[in-house]
Amino acid sequence: MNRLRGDSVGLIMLSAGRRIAIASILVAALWALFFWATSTPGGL
Amino acid sequence: MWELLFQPFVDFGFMRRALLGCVAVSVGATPLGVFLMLRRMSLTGDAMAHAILPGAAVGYLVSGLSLGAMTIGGLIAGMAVALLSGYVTRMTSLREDASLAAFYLISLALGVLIISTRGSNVDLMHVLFGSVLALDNAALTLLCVIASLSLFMLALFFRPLVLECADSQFLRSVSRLSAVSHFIFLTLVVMNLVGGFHALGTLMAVGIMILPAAAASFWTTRISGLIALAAAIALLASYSGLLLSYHYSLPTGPAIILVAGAFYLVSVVFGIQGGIVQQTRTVSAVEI
Repeated sequence: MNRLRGDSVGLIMLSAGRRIAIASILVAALWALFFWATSTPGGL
Repeated sequence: MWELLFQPFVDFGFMRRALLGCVAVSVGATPLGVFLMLRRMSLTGDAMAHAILPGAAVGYLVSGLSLGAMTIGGLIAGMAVALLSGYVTRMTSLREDASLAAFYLISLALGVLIISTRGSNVDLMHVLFGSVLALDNAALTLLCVIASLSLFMLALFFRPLVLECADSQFLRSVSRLSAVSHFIFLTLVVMNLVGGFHALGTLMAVGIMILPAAAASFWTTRISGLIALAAAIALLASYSGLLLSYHYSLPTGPAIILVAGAFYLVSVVFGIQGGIVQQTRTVSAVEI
């Protein structure tokens, strides 16, 4: 833990709303991948 | 090159499903692995991964290879071990690592006993080593829901979680969120391990959580960088492991974890934040 530096330009400086916005983008990408993987026909 | 790297995922549905399962585990579990590592709780994750086994086994006994029953059983067993070991630590002179080790060993033995007496060796192998190439829609939905929930909860409780890592006494003195964030963190760890065991098995689920985090710690000391790099390593290890498994007919879970292990070993040697080469150069410079 003593190696962990401050995060002056990172996630910790963002408001919770902005972090949730970033999380929403990642979640949207994950579910887009879900629909691609489960709906595209082909193979087994 | 296209055929080597992308064709398996274009041609085969089971490869796409495996990739999605691995991506979900990577984005959900790896950031938690970073926090586990920063809290010096890496082995706690391993213990919890084993602790979910009897719950999954009871779920299996009740309704066969049912996703819901095994998930709920695993969640209950994992949370029970976490809470019981915490209770014993507070009420006795035993330290937390010892009480957790005791409970997880009892839990693991109980799980293997239940599965062995009522199931077959194939069932035991399924629970211990997962079946990432056989993920159905229900399992994938579960993995994606757990990953989504993890991302949203991490976004919401990011500051308390970081403060808990840096100075838990300070967090306790300035906020009531300490206990809440700790409980949410443990719940997320158990949920991700339960999700991960469907894909990678109880023995390997913790690997995708800890190895990328440990590898990333040799390259950056910023927490945002650690999370991003750990997730990137987990994704790359998953993709490479799936391809290796496909082209060389290797078992998928171990292939993914071994690639993550290779990233870790390379980082141990060449990492710019305390890697062996960097440490050796620093010592040489001091001697000169």
